[in-house]
Amino acid sequence: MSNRLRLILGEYGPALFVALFAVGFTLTVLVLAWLEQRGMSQRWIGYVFLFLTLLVFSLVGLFTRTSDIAEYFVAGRRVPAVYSGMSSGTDWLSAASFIGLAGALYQSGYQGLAFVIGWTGGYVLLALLMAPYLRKFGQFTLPDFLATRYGGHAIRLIGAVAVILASLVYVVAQVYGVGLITSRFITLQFEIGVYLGLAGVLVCSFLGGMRALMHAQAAQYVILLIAYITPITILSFDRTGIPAPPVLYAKAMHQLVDIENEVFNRPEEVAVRALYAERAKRLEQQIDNLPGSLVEERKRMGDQIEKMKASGASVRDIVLLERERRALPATPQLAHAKWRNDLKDALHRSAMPVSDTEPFALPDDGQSRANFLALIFCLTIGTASLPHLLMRYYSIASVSQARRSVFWSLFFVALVYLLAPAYAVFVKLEVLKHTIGVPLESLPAWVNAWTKIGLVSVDDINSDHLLQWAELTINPDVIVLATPEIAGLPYVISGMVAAGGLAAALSTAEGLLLSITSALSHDIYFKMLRPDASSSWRLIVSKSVMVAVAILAASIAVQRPASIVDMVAWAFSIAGAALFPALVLGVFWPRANRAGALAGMIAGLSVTVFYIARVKFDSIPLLGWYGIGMHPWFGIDAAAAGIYGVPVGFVTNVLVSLLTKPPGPESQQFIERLRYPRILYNRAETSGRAIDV
Amino acid sequence: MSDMTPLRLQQKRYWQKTLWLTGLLLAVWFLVTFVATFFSAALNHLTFLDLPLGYFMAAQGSLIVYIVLIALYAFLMNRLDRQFGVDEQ
Repeated sequence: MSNRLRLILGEYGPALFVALFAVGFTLTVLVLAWLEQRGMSQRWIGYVFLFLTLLVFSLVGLFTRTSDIAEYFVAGRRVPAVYSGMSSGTDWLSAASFIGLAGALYQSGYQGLAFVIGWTGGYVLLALLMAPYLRKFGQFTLPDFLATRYGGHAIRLIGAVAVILASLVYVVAQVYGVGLITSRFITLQFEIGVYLGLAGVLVCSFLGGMRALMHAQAAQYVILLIAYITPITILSFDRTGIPAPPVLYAKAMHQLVDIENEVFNRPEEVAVRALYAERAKRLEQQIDNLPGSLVEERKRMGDQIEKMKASGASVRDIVLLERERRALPATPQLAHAKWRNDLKDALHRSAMPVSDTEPFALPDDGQSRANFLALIFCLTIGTASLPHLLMRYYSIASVSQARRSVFWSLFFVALVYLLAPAYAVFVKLEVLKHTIGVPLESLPAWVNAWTKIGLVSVDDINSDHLLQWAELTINPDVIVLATPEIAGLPYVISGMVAAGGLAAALSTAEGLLLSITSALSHDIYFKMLRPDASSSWRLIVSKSVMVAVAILAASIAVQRPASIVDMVAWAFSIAGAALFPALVLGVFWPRANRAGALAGMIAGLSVTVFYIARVKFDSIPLLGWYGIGMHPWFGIDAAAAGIYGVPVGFVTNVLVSLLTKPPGPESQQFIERLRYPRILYNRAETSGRAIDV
Repeated sequence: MSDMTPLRLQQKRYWQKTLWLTGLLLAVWFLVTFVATFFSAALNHLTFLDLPLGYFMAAQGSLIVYIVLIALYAFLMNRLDRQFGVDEQ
């Protein structure tokens, strides 16, 4: 907002802006719904929503553009609590929350709830241990904090590296979400969609930095919330007559459990699971007999094709088999990687599905109680140390506002999270009712639409041309986006959900880009390389760094390295292990010193990255590494790598600190400044100097 | 170290109260986050709002507790600031 506008509107400016925007958005949706009835094509509805979302970003960026450093990085430090809570809530609600969370609950039932507990429980740590102290410190970045507390360039560098690494992994997940949405809803190629989405983000943060981000994100929250609430409310009203899904999905849950019990015990389901068990056994043998089994497999298929040709089988079947033969991995190493994945998949399908409410149901599948608690641990610690979230607390007007802001932020986040379980339950109910046992030719249209972009797959293993539960794979990232189609709602609702998903992914991506950019341009360039750089030159550097990082993120995302929720969980483990011990000990344990912090950060970070790389990936073809996979320690998933990284970080920090000499008086003073309110501290400054030990 | 100025004493009292509050709220947080989750299977035998309690706690109950904890912290800390006459408004 311009200064003149701020003068006229005073404190009500932000509230008015958000309200106007909500009305505008609702009107747009209604107009589009009317146009759809008049025959507007689905493709055009998709376009309108996409460009609307991007337009909001660009316009806000344009109107709030700034060339002042403090405005650019911390929005002038005068943002009120509710408004900053709303916008940092949006910052927080990423593609993983909007798209991934309900999907995870759909796929793994109770097991997915680790994300709900972890992501919200982390806010308590954030409120109690981080936000007020960071605000009191009041500089620009997290490495600023570390460097001031512990002293020296080395700690700033390691801090910046950790910030960049965690944010980069996280931003890749967001960009991947953008690609997913654009490729489905406006049928763009995945790659093009990724770059288009980024362009929108760049316009905004490029011009306005944190200040533009504040306003854009408040607007994005409106889109996101309306888009998340509408479809599930309609669906729940339609099916149960109760339009309050977050509180009253119990009825649907009971129905679901009954239907599940009936469906999963049907004889054809049992038979299909047995077929998958056989397939798993065959794959196991093939993996053991590599490389001979690969040659054999190729020959077996060749023979079969010859036989089919001789016996005059249908051309379609022959072509299918030939395609399958061509798809065989080229080298034994690739075969090992591929078959190991196939094996996991087959084993998963061969297991009896478990009820949604049952905790820790499949210990062998990584669903043990230990895994669940470990994941919660990583997500809470990670939430309290994610740089893009912590940075926000620098921009708030005062310490007491910072405390309130965390509350508002979690409040706005909770509005979305409380709905996620209802999504999972209602959608699963619809899928079970309308697709299972249905002939393959007459499956609902959404199955085909999503199969086309490879996110839903149907594998008729028993060739009965009917769909069984175990034969259907739905990528969890699809659930929320496909809900309107699954429920048979008008397409305009689908478009709206897509816009909501875009808003979530883009707003988070933007916050992350800003945190990477400030680590690179503020910490590494300005503080370490060129302290004499002028402020306009610093902004030029940040802006160009931002473009470079955005392009890098997009080019990683088009490789589709893992699912959204996985990538996000890694980012949390990395951020938690590297930053949390140094930040918390920095405030609460005056004895922690530079050597300890450095050693702790490096140890925590390396353990985490090592664990993720070796447990998750058997091979990294890009680097030419094969066969690096290892068995997880105590069966803990790669997603919860921080369960090892965080304690290692803490222990190393404490031990090394105790072995080296205590920190000097500067850091004692620094800690006092953080702990006591400014007035108490300032009085100490003037009168208390004499008695300083 | 022995003789402290009134200001030092005040600083110390302020910080100790902050630590107590932080510790107390963290203890509740730990109970809800880890202990309740650990016994989730057992809690599922009870029902709340017609849902198994273990599931409800993980899906929504703990989230509501967190919001209350943060609100309490903000309220009590801001009150503490006023008591010490150091609030920044």
